[in-house]
Amino acid sequence: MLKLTDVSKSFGNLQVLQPTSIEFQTGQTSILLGTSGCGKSTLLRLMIGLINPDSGTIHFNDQVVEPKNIEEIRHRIGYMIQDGGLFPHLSVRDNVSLLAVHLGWEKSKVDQRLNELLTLVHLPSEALDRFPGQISGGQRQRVALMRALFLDPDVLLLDEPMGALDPIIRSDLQNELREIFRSLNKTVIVVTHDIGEAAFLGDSISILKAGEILQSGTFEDLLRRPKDPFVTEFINAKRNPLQDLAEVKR
Amino acid sequence: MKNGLTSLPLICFLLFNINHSPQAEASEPLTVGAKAFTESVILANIVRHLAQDTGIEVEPVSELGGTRVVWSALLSGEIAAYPEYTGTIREELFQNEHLPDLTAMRKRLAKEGISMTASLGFNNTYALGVLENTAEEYHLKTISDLKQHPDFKYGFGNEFMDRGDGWPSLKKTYGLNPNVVRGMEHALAYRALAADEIQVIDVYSTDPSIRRYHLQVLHDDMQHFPKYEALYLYRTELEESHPEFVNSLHKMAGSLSDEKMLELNQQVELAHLTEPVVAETFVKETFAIDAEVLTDGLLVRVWKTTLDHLFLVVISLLAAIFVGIPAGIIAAKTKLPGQLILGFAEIIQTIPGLALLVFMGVIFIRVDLPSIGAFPVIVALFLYSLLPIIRNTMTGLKEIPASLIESATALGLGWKARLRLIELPLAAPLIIAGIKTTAVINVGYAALGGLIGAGGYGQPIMTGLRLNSEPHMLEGAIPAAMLALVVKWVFEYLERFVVPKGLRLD
Repeated sequence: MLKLTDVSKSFGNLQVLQPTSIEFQTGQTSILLGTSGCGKSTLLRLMIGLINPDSGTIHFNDQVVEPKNIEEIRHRIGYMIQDGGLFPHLSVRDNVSLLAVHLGWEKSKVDQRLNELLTLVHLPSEALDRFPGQISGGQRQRVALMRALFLDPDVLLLDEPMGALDPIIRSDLQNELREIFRSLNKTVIVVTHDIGEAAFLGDSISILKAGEILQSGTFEDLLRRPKDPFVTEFINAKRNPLQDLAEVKR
Repeated sequence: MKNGLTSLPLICFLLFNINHSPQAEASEPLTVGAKAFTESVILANIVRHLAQDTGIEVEPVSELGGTRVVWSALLSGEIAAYPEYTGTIREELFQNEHLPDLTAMRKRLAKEGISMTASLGFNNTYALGVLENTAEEYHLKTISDLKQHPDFKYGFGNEFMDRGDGWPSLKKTYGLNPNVVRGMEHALAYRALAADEIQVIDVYSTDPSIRRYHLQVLHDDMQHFPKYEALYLYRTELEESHPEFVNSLHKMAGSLSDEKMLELNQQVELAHLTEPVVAETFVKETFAIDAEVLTDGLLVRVWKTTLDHLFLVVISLLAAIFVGIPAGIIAAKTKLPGQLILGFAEIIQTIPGLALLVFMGVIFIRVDLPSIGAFPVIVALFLYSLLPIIRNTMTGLKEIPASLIESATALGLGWKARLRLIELPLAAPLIIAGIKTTAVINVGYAALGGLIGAGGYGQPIMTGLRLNSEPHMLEGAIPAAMLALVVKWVFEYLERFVVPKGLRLD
C-alpha cells in the first residue's frame, strides 16, 4: 500500500530522518511513536508530499510519489493534524465537502456522504452549519476526520490527532477511532508520543529516535523483546498514578 | 468626463481611450486656462465673455495651479490660451535663453507654435512688502533698507523662491542675508505676516492684499525686478481655425491700467464678487457687450463637485484594486519580484502630490496624454492607492497560519484553488481594511484635483485659499469630510459581503 525505500531528509545541517525503509500493510493501523523532534511527523509529511525527500523513493500502491502526480495521490489519502486544521472562514459543511465540491460532485451525492460521515463520527446534523470557532475541540477533531474521510481514501494519515484534547474527551475519541478504523478496514498511520494511545490503537508500532526507526512490531514485541534500551525506557516512562501514590505513602 | 458616475460601465473604456483632441479642431469648444490666482482668473474670464460674444463656445475657465502646468497645457493643446506676463516668459519659461525685447520673445514663442498679444496695459511686477507698522518702526522705504535687519523672517511663495528673478538673484543684487527664509503657499504668507510670524513677503504690485493687510511696498531701488506686463498667450493655429477668438484676445490690448486691474482684483478679494461677475461687468463697461453669466446655487455646485470628486476617487480605487491585489499576491509569494513591487509602491508614496502631478504632466505631454484635468489626478490617486492595498494583501496572505496552508495542500487543492477558496477569503478582512483606508485617504487626496482643473472639492478649497474666503474653503472641506465618513460606512457595510461569516464571529 505505502512503501518507503531509503528515504532521508535534512533541514539545513540537521538530519531529521536517516535513510529509512518501511512498509505499511493494507487494513492495518500503524503507529509512529517517539519524542518530539524524532522525525515521526517528518515521515508523515513526506508521505503526503508536503516536503520532498532528499533521497529514496516513496511508493503509493504501484506509483512512485512525485510532484507531478502528488495532487491525484493526495485525493486518495486523508490527512488530519493536531488542531484539526479546519478553515475558520468555512462552515463545518463547507470544510468537510470543500474538495468534493471543487472536484464537481453533485449536491445529492455530497449530502448523502455528509450524512454517512455524521453518523460515523457521532455528530448531530445541526453541527454542519456551525463554524469551527463555534464548536468544541473534540467536535473539531471529528469534523477534521470527516473531511479526511470524505473521498473515501485508501490511506488515513493522522498527526497527533488527539494532542490538543483533554483526557476524558481524548479517551472517548480513542475508543471511537479504534472502532472506526476497524469498521472501515483502511490503512491508517498515526503519529503520537503517547505510548498508551499507541498500544490501544496500533496493530503495529514503530519507535523512532533521532530520525531513525529503532524497532517495529506489536506492542508486545516492544515490551518483551526490545532491540534497544531506549525502547524499554520509552515504554516505561509513563507514570502510573496508583504506584506514585503508594510510594508517597511509604 | 464630468458626469462620471452616470457612466460607470464606460469607465474602463474611458480610461484607456481618453478623447484627447487638440483645441484646434473646429467642432470642439475652446478652453481658456488661468493660473490659480485672482488676476489670472479674471483675465481668463474676460476672454471667455469676449469670445462667447462672437458666437464661439468656450468652456468654463480651467484653473491650473502654477506657470509650468498652464504652459504645458497650452503647448499640448489642452487649453487654447491663457494670460501670462512678460517677466514670467523671460525669467521662467525661457530662463536660460537671452530674450532682450518683445520681438525676440515673439520669435522664440513662434518656435513652439505659440503667439502673444500686445500688453494689456498694466505691469504686475514682483515687489517686497512689509506691514506699514513695521516700515514705520524701522524706517523701511527701499529693499536696500532691509540689509540692516538680518533678524527679520522672510516668507516667500514657492514660485518666487526659485524663479530666475526671484529670491536667489534678489539676494545677490541687494546683498541680503536674513537668518530665516521660508517657502510657503502665497495666500498663507499674508496670514503669517499679519500674525507677525514673518516680517517680509513677496507681493504682486496689483495685489489688493496690499491694501487689505496695510502693507508698505518697498521701493526696488536697484531696479532688480523686470517688467511683468500682462498679455495673452495663444496657440498660433487658432488664427486660422478660430480668427474671431484671436480677435477677442487682441481686443484687450491696452485696455487695463494698473489702477483698473487693482480695482478688479479688489472687487473679487475684498467685495467677494466672483471672477465671472467681475469680468462680465468689466466687459459690459469697456466694450458695451452684454455677456450673460450663469451661476449655480450652492446645492447644485456641491452636487457637481461631489460627482467630480467621486469620479476621481472611484475610478482610481477600482484600478488600484484591480492591480494592487494581484501585485500583493505576487509580493507575498515571491522574493525578488515581491520586493521590487513593494519597493516601487513605497517610493511612489514618498513623492509629494504636487510634484507627482507636475512630473506626470511632463511625461504625459510627451506621450500625448492629457496633462491636466481628471486623468492625471486619477493616475496619481491610483499610484498612491497601490501601497496600502498591496501591503495589506501581502500581510493578509502571509499571516495565514502555516497549518491551514498545509491542510489545504494536503487535501490536494492546486495553488489556484487554494488561493481562491482558502487564502484570499482568509486574507479578506485585511485586504478590505486596506481598501477602506485607501478610499478614505483618497477622498482627501483627490482635492489635489483643484490644482489642475480636475474639479472636485479641491476647486472651492483652492478658490477659498486664493481669496482668503472661509465660505469657499468650507464649501469644499465640509462635503469632503462628510464624504470620507460616508465612504467609511459604505465599506463597513460591504465588509459583511466580502468578509466570510466565519471570520466575523464575535
